[in-house]
Amino acid sequence: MTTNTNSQSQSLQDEDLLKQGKIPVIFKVLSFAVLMVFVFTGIANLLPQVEGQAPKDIKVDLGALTMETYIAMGETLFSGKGTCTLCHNNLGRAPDILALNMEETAVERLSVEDYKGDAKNSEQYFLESMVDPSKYVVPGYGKAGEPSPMPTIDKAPIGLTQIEMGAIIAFLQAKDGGEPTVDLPTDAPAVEETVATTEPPKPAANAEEVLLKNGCTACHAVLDSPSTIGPNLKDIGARSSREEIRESIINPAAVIAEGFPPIMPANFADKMMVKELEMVVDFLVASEDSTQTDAPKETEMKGE
Amino acid sequence: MLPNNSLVTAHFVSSIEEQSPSQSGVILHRSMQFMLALIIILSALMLVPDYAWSSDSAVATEAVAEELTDNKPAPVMGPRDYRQIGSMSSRSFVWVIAQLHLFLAAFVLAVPLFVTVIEWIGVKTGDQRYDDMAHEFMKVSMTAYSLTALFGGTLAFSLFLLYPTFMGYMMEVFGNQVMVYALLFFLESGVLYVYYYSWYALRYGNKKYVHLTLGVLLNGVGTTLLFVANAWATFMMAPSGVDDAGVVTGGIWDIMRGPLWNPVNLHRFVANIAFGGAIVGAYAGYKMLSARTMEQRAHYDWMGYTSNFIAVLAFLPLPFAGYWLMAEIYAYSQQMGITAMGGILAWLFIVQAVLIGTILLAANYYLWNGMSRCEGSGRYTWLIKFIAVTLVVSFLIWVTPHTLILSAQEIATLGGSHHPLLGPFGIMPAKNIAVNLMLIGTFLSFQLYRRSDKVITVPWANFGNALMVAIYLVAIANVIFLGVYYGYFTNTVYKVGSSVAQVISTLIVIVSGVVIDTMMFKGAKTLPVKWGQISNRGVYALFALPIAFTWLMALMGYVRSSVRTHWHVYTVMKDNSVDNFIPNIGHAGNMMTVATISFLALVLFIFWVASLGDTKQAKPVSVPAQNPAQ
Amino acid sequence: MPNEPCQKCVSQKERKMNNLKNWVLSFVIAIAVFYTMDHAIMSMQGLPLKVDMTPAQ
Repeated sequence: MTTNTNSQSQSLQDEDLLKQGKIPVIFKVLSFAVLMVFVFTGIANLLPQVEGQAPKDIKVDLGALTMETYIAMGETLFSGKGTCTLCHNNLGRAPDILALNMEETAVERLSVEDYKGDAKNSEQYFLESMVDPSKYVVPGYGKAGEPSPMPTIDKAPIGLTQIEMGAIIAFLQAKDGGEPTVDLPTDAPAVEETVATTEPPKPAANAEEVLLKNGCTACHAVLDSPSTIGPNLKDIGARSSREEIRESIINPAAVIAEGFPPIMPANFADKMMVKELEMVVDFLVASEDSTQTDAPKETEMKGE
Repeated sequence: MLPNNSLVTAHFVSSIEEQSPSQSGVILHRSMQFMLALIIILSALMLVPDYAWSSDSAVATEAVAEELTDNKPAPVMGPRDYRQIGSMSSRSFVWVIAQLHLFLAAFVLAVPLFVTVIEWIGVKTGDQRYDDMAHEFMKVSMTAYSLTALFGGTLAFSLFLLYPTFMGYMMEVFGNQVMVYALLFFLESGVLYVYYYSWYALRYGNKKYVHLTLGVLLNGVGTTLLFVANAWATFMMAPSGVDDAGVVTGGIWDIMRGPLWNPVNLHRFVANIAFGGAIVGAYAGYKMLSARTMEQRAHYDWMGYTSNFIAVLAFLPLPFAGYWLMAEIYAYSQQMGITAMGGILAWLFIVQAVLIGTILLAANYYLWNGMSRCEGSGRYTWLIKFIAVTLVVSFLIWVTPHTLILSAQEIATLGGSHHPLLGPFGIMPAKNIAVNLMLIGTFLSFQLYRRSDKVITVPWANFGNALMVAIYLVAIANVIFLGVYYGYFTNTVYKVGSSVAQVISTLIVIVSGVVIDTMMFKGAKTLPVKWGQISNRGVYALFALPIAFTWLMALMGYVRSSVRTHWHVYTVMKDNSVDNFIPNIGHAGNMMTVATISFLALVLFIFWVASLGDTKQAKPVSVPAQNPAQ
Repeated sequence: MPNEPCQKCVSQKERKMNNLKNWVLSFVIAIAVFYTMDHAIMSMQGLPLKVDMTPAQ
């Protein structure tokens, strides 16, 4: 970039500037334009390719429904069609339901003076907060004098059915070890909506497969991985409870182990199926001793 | 080249020198004032209290309620409500047609906006060249106008053909309003043709003011057209004036004045100007590269510079308009907001970052190259390399993705789904630092460019310069400190809160830069500007800008439309077609490229037709009469 | 700058001093402005400025 043009080289430069070259200008400009467009297209094609499917109607056999599958259905709805996790996460937009013990929280809320709703127990409270969220807004959320920012769950665009809301209540009650009080749906509507993913997913066969599939070994010392980026998981069962382990996978940022960077992705709960998550949790709860071998290869590990 | 070529150049240079002292300053000020006024008017429009309409709409509501007691809810869509042309995806077809219509419409609405401003500058400064340039801009947009109408018609037909039930419902909701749109279109055409063809008939004296009034009228009608059409799109995103089932309950005002209407109005209005400026900049750049004389080259260099200036100036407030739109989307539905910013569409913002980065880099590159037009620029060239490095590093940080979906193998190789070293650059605070530094760097380039043809004479020049340097350095330190400290060492609330202070830091630099410069330029000596003295490489920035703008417009339009997810009209009318899913980014990118390349072809046609008007066939010489000896 | 007013009557030393004063004053102003702005913006959002380097929870 020569900027100090003196007047002597002036006319020479003019000639240079007006030189047209062999390739016509139109061709050069067009190639430049098309090249740029293809670079942008390339970038779009390099990013993860995910399709966002609309919820589809899937038949649920109510006869075969057990409380366990009903709770699992609630959990799927919670992060799927119900879109609850969009706000109810650790980012402070709404109470972090997955981190809170909701049974206890519900009892607390019902007893505060400001509570003006009609619920008498946790089941009614959960339902009320879904169908009439403005009845009681938790202090610190929403704006004073304005309706709750939470959408009405049984209305569009979310539009959960009674059965689906029941599943979510069952999940909320059960997730901290409580007993669900909701009744299993038995009657009438045979068509039930749940979330359809892009492809019918196949659950992993065992916990090892889940750990490998999700790349846990990249950071954690688990199975035959010696990685020290994240906390050692070989003795996690001795240090943490089942609930803490589950929580750390679903919502890694809730508790960051001392001395480790908060870099664990928060989307494992979405990527794993409920069944897979439980397999991993079971496996980790059982991993109690770092010196003992869960797998034979593990003996020659680590120089921590 | 002949020796007299430099004579012509010298003449042209000197003729510019006479008028150039505050040339860019004038444009800057006039267009800034104009933009500011428009933004204020639009914001005021938003703030007009509800009761301003309420008497009207209350009456209208009653009337409507009486008239249409048998209003129907939005139909539930089944397979019979959708049609296809052959095996072509209806969505893809409408996607491309609508995008082309929007590209052309944006261009056609924007050009008269700045043409009228430039024409007015011409009147105020008495500089004939502004008037000529304004007329040339207009000429380019005339062909685009009829193409806009053609694509608009095609779009309407294809919508009625492919989505008959949906369009039926939209017609029921909007009713006679669509005829108002048609009427406005007639008016727009009429005023446009009179404005363009009366250019030379109404050129001087009081007649010029008649012509300027026509220009204002043209823009009034054009902008109203835009707002009327925006109401359709915003109704689909955030319906108002209908109940949960889609039954019309309000008057047309209630339907049009949804929560997103004004934010979209403002955003589209400002973006159109940036887009239009970029396109005519490319026109000037092309003419410049193919110029045969230095005089032509100088003219088109100046034209390209002005267009680029308009484009970048309109581009800078866009993030703020975008922020308002996003804030209103969140206020309307958190779900919709999060779908856009944190959900499946969030990846598109990586692509957006690449495009905006390209635009900023191109704009800077153009300014740096353009400094060679001024002899006084030598004082500042040493700074350019630092700006360049800052921009490139910031750009790279900006496009570093946060989380990547990788295979287990890749994660193992990388040592985690976040790179141990690059990971921290992927999160928001790092990106906030990067964006703000890029904006500060771009403004510095701009400020240096403006200073490069001036010798400042005010007595407090030293202090002014020191203050400016101090503001830059402290602002940069502040942006980095806020980002690093609050971004990495405290909680989320602070992270978000400190990003506001970062943006304000950048704004302080820009505002104080403009103020200090304006005061320092008083009585400044002006060095000659040699238009046309810019490397051909630099001119390519004028092509990079519109290409990136076009693609970016397609991208953001796609995001705006996609936040409705599986709804035709959000919460009211479900999309049950085979295309009711959000396609993957690659597919969307390919669609945008199809639209962009088609638009490119159309633009070439428009430019070609515009230059065809200037081409005169030489009169055939009557050969047989005289037969000169050979 | 070639257009310094009254260049002759100001000694080299004085000019240096003047320059230094310019720079110091400029930085004092800039730092004051940005510091006040940080305070104002953060407290407007109910977030008092605090320099507490304990890592995020």
